[in-house]
Amino acid sequence: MGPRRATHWVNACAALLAVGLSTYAALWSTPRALTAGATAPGWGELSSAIPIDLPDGGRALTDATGASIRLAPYHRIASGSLLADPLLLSLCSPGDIAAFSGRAPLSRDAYRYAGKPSVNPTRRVEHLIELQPDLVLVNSLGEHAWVERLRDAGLVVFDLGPMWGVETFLHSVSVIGWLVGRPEAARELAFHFKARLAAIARDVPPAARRGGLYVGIHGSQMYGGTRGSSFNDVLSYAGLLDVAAKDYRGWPTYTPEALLTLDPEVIVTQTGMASQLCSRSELGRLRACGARGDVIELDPQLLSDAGLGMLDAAELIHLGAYPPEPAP
Amino acid sequence: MLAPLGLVYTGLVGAALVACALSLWVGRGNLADDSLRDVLLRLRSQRLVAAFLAGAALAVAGVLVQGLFRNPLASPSIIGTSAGASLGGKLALLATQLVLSTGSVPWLSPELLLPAGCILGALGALGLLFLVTRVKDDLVVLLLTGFLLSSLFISLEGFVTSLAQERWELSRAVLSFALGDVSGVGLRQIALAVPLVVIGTALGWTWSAPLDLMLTGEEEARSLGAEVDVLRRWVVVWTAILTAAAVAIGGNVGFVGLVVPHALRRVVGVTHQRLIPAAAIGGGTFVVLCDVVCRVLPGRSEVPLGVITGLIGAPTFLWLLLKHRRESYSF
Repeated sequence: MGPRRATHWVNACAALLAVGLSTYAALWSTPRALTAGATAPGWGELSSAIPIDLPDGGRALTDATGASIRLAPYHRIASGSLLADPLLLSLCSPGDIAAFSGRAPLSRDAYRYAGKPSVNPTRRVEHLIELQPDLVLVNSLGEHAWVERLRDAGLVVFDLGPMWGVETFLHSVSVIGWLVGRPEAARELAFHFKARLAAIARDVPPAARRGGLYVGIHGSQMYGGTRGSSFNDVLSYAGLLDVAAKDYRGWPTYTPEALLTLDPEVIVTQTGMASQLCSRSELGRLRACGARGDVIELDPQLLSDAGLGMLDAAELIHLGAYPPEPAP
Repeated sequence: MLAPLGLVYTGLVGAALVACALSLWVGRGNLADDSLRDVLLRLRSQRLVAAFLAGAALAVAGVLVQGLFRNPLASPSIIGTSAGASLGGKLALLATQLVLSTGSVPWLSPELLLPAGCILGALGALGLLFLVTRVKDDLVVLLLTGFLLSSLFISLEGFVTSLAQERWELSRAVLSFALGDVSGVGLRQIALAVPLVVIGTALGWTWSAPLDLMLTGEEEARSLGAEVDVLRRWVVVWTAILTAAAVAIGGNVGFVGLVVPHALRRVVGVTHQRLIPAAAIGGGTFVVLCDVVCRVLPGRSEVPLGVITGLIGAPTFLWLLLKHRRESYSF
């Protein structure tokens, strides 16, 4: 064998060895299966939108961008907001809905939106304009430039603003009620939503509440949702004390070290992630991964729903954290 | 004037030890808490090893590629495998979340999805590179092909990132990966990267003598007995493997492969047999120190590692350039 050929062989074998060892390491262990194992916050008044009077005798609502949108009989409403989709179904006649949001066909209850087009107001503006809606509902996250672009295109756009939990959702319910001409129906919907939320953990006294934490896992990254986000509301209404609320706001990124410092009794995460979380040797010592803790898995879409889905999420978390006593 | 080699290595090892001590010492958790100390130290040691491996891999890849192209300003990303690894990682995240809708596959630990995607992406990019350069095998074609592949993968990455915006947390995960991070690296990821980095560095080092000959020019190296085409092929392979390991473990951590070899060349010299081990230690130490900086800067979340390496690396590189402005930018 010549030196040139030997060089090729040595390098090729080494490359194969490196990749082979890595592959072996990757497959070295599969995560073990894991058995996943109140008084509601004070109510206060229902968050409701209050129309303002216009000089011409009409009425209007102010949206998140500060624009006044006239209350009028809208009959071609397009939703660019996943949160507004179910509210439109609940509050207005199907004939008045021109389109649902682009994410509606991907949602858990996609069947409810069948038969209507879906639009993405940030990316498919032309498609939206083609539908000729007389009102477009959107949620912006503080970046209003694209809302202005839609208005420049001649559309009437109501920006519901960011969705940060129960209060902002109830405000949106009220706004949509006014915009579709059914404020009383919206008030009723909001009332029942709040009443059901409050009832979930009514029987759990404050002293008996367990510490809980939301942890979303993507690859090796761990994300939270706490004070100022819908996750905090969902945990609270489920009867848990959000242990991250003291030190964090919004949607923090957790390091394993931060998670160990918080060390909640109950962790709420996406379906299939309990094993990943607890199979890491250093995280396995979290109280939630132990015999007296709970890791509750929920559908990720339900978990990230800052609208009506918060109710289902809170109920499921409550059931996981405080399982009903078995019948004698 | 070059410093004595023993002194340089002693200094590098000393700096590495100080960086390791800092990395174990600094963090959010309180080491005084007896119940947490063991686990905190274990977490920090994993993070330390991950940062060191990523830094060492990038710095050695930088030395190899700079030697191959005879240009101290070349970066390991020049052959397109970094962008390929990055695209592979993002695709792995996206595919498991949006296509499988589960975030996991049954036969692979979920935390390894991203690293596995990175390695497959880098190997795919390497395959494409070799496929194209088979037609005409010279340095210029290799350089241009690498550049074009890199541009292509970066565009595709942009597309994948835009698709990831469909889900709030997925988009954050993609962004975090793009910014570089070793905070969540666990034993499985380290186990996956170690063989690639160790064997890559060792085999890269075996090419030291031909790389030294390449410094005199391709034709001269050939006339002195170097098999330039064989050298080119294997140096590209080892650079790809090293960058794949670095991206798999730390995401996009920039400037390490550029700054560390450039700085060390001034004290160690241009001989690759000396430079490659020094770059491994120096690169690892640099990234470990940057990771410590990430932890001490105030903020609700840690500053991404890639931001810190860029913020430190870019001015340092500029300073090195200005300091040696009277010298020509060649070996």
